[in-house]
Amino acid sequence: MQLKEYEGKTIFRHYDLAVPAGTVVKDSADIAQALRTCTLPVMVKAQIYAGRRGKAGGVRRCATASDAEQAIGQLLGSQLLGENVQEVLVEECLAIGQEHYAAAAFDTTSRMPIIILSKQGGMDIEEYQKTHPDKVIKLEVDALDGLREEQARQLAKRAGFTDDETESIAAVLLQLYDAFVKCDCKLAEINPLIRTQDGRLVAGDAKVILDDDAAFRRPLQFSPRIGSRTLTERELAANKVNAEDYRGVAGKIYLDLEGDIGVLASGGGASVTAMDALISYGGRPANYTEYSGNPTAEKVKKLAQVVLSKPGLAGCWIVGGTANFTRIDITVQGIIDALIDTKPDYPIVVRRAGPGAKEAYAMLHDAAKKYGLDIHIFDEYTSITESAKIMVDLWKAYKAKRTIKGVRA
Amino acid sequence: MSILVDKNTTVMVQGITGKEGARTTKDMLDYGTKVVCGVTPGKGGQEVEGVPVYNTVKEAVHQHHPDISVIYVPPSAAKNAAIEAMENGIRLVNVITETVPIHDTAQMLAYARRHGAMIVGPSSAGILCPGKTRIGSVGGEGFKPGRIGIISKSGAMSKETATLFTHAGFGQSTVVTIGGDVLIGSTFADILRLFEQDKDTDAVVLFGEIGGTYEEDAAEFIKQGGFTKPVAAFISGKFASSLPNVSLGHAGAIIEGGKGTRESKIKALKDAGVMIAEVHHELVDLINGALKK
Repeated sequence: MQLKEYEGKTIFRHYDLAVPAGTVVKDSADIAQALRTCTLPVMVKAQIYAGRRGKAGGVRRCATASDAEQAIGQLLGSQLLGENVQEVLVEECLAIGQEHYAAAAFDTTSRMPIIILSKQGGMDIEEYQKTHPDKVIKLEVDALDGLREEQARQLAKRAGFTDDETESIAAVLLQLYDAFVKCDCKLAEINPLIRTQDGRLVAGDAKVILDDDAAFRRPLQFSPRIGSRTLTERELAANKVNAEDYRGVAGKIYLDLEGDIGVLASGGGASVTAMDALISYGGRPANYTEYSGNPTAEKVKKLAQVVLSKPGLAGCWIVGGTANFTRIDITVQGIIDALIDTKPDYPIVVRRAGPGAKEAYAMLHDAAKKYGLDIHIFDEYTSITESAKIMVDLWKAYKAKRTIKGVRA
Repeated sequence: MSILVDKNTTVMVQGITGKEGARTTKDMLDYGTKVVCGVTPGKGGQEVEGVPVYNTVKEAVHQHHPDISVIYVPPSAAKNAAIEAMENGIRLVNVITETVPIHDTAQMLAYARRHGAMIVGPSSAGILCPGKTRIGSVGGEGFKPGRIGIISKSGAMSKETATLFTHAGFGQSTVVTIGGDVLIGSTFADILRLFEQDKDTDAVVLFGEIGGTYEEDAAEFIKQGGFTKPVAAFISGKFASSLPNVSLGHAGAIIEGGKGTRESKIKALKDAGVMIAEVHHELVDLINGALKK
């Protein structure tokens, strides 16, 4: 989960990294109050996830209170690089001497934590790395030992810092690595790391990605989100379904998407392959979600209710690999219960196999007959990807028919 | 022959008294796997499916000298469980636990590196040699003995992939699920190295996913001559690429240098002579074609 700049800076401050004095404005009614706490001139910074917001006008230097008021007012609630600006960070203006770059991350080739340091920082670090690979210095860190002081000093020297600068840079690297480990970050990046004219090192920006798997032990908590947006009602409902019942997984991941084919997929890798195939054949999923690990019928029913609650569906795909131990009859029972409540007239394609599959096929067959559901049943001899094509063909035919009838065209 | 494990491999289960651990122990025993001992702190003296349970790895190892440990403990305990196994001389640890914090995985891997141990996982579904032994959760119908090796980031898709081949008349030598986490103990390249040496494997199938650089690293390994048998790969993630974008930041770009995308992986693998399936079920035809030559 990626954090916004001001949240990342909360972490930095907690681990003694210097950040500019600042305040977050979320409501235009609070602008005047916020500005009273700041010393002019100020930097006004839109809090979005996208990079290069400066070039898009999301970062402005304001010399007077009225300038700042106007800038904040314009930015709050505006659309910037595809995101809605919900917060604006107002910060003191630093007298910049030099801009450096420092980050802690994981390297998948060495499979170790890594520190990256460059004397030259700022917006163009990626380009700079391409033209000056010898100036962007990396150090692999033994995760058991952590970053040692001597290593941090060595790294600073290798990056071209003078003896005078080495101590302060090494201190920042140690604090950054400390924050990276203790807050279970996947990435903690300071760009630029500002050396002020009076010689202090201050984090000008913060890019932090947290490891969601370590949320249970993180000393600082942040609100959950998907990418750059907060969770939708259905996403929250699905997560709740999962959290309320410890047996198996159902709805731990749920994403609302733009299409109109409801998806109930089973198995992490299988579900992603299934979604790939659906999209490859031109299908448009209404959601992505996944259940696995032998959840109860009740839990699957609740997740199915969430999926089926989306307005305007034109198909439903119940798909998974050949299960090792997840009971197909039990999980399918939950889905049938939800379908009976909804009684949709759109096509439903089921591709499931594994323990209890024969019983599940019989149950689906009976439900289809009794409640007039358009269910198409496939076993392991039809691959996941083939069933995607079948789903897409039926969905297209259904939509064509619906258009002719003039119903919800 | 097979890689990593064979029918004589003896197995310890850490977390054997938990729901998953106990069920898998039964499944493994039913398959003929030699599960010799289990560990759950505080449950020493009990039995699971007739397998003795110990409080510590030390006691279990002292009594039974298992070859491999398979880990079914909760995520917050996985690191210590893996390290405890390696500390007591276990050289191969298969971590099934999912959602292990990445910093914990980094520590496990650091420990393994220092002590010359091998980790498969985390988030592995296990290792299967059809007809010989199964370690972990991967198994059941769909697999049969044969000469195709499978390396998969996904557990369910290893089974799905094997089923495609079984239906087409190709059995499997060993199926290794390496897990899809950012940091993993054994990569595609690590396992390809073992398959290269295995006389009973004619060709290998890779099931990859977007993210990380393990597919690109495998391509590099193949290109350098590390693996010389036919390889076919499927890289999932067309859909995932369309998800709400979470950028890895500049550091991500610097470390991965533009790698990690589906396109980058497919290009690297193609350049290394690997056959690419656009849709998953095409893998069979690709391997079939290559073996007929």
